[in-house]
Amino acid sequence: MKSAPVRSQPRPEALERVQPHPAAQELPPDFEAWFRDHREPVYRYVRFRVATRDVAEDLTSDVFMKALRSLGSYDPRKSAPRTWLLRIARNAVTDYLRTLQRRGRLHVSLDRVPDLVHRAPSQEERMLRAEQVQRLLNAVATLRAADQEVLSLRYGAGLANLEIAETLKISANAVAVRVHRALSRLRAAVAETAGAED
Amino acid sequence: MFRRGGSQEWFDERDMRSLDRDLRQIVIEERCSYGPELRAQLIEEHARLEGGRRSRSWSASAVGIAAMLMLVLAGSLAFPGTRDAVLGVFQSPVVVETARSVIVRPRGGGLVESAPSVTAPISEPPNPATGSVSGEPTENPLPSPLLPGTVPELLDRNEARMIVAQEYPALLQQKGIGGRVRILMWVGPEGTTEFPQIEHTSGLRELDLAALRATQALRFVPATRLGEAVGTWVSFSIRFQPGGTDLVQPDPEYATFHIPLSN
Repeated sequence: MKSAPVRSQPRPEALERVQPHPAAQELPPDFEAWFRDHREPVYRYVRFRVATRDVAEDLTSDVFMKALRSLGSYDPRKSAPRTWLLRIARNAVTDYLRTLQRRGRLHVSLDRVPDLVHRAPSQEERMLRAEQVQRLLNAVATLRAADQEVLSLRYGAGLANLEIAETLKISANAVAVRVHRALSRLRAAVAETAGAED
Repeated sequence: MFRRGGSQEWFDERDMRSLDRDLRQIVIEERCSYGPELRAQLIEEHARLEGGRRSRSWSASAVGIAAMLMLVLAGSLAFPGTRDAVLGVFQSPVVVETARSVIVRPRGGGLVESAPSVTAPISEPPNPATGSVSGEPTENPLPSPLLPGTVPELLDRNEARMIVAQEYPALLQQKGIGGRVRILMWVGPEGTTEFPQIEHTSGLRELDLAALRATQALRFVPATRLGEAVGTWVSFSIRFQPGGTDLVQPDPEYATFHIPLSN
């Protein structure tokens, strides 16, 4: 079996330069637990909102880097760690989308969604499902930002209405209404994009 | 999955539930090496931040100590009786050195970061030949996330060619119709294949489906990382051509995780 360098490794010369203090060779214990428990919801939230896996990885990295740098300013009385991380993630995604908008490249094709899959029993059904997932996400991408936001928190990060409420600082009832309306608009968008393809 | 047509304003609970279920069933797969990579970056950043904090606090302490010394010396000059007592402190210096980690480069090529093996004060410089300090052994180095990984490989290339040939629709072969399909799929830690998807179509649905059927039967030696088998996405092409099929190496989008299928 051939060996290959693992992607995104630090360069060897960088390694030799950095000789961290032994105490700093691990993450702070709290942060280690956050990274273990909340990386996936944060990544899924971000991935739900951006078109490619590479961008989602970069943004998720940014989120945890920012969180690590501002760990001292985190106040557990104000928010749960996941809420805090998702708030950083929301800002990161908003900034990213704003940059794209400035460059006039907001529309990104979702033709390639290899990391978004739909568990289905047979091969043919999986292919069909993959097309449907793609169509569904294309429709989500046409919604306004507030709708994408609430759908990403619910279906990307997998938050319950109460957790979404805490993240968005609105009531749980308001979340339920927003989700319902977003789904309603999503259904219309799906029908519209399907009609346009015919 | 979802229906279309009809009035767009009309939206009943059944549609809502169906859409809700479909959205919940979308699975977002993280690249398998992404978590460890990000963790390594975070540790590096944490070390940098800690280093900055230490040097800041050290320089603040140094300034404070220097100011105190100035005051004490000034006082001792004013009172000669205390001068000897003050200077006596500096005649028997206490050397305190911090522990440090050592990076050694093994003969095999990869980098191994040794354990922070030095816990006692260091009295001699590290021995460059052994990478150890004061003859302390550097056996049992800690596994490092920076060791090279291996990519998945076909268990049996000839078997793979046969599988692909068997799936090539006979009618298309007779008509001399061929094509190339690029597949992306997950090779699990057991070497099993999952979620094969068409990354680049041949333009013919029959060939695409034949390629997907073939990939289901392929067997792989899984990728490894830190000596352990891990799952990973792999991308490769299958070329159907009358008179012989082939599996060829793709454009290396997933540069380090491709299947070296070409001869």
